[in-house]
Amino acid sequence: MAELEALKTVLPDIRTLGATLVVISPQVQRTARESEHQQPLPMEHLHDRGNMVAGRYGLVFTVPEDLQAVYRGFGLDLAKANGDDSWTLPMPARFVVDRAGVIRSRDVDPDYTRRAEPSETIAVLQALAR
Amino acid sequence: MTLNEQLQAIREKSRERFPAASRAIMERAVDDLRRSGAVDRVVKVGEGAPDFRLPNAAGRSVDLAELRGRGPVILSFFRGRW
Repeated sequence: MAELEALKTVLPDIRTLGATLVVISPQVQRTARESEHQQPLPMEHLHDRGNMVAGRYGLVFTVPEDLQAVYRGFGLDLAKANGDDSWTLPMPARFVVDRAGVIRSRDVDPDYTRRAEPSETIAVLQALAR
Repeated sequence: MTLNEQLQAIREKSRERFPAASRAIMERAVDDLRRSGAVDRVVKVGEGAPDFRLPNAAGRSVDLAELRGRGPVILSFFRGRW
């Protein structure tokens, strides 16, 4: 969640640059708090059931069986959390898509503890705005 | 603190939190994924971003084509709040 919090801190820059942050996860969501915010944030949090969209971006992998057992030991039942029993996950990834629908930057790493800094993404948006 | 400094702190904490056997399985899964060349199958810079329509937290359907019509879009895929 550190990444989502870090991205939220640059929402004012995202707004200034005329962009929108779209966060996509397979997890079933419980609250609609963000959408009830008085001044709408330039942000959408979308639910990708079964990782269908993540699959079209080439991000999906199946959690190996030994790791499924480890997660269950931690009390994490992905089938329940995600509302599907595929035990698939997206590799965490961040893209910038321009107005024509072309991907202008891509950050992806199989190690889910490695992420690009939000400032790198803001720099991409600034270059697009020039 | 930058995001990567925070992530580094989380990695160090997880070394204390999880038993060595579990950590070995977690690390091997990441290594296997890296060696499988999974990243090569991810859509690339210069390619078209596949359009989609998904529900937001309020249950309203959101369309990528509509959003990007208004300006650039940052797409952030993540695993969930756990």
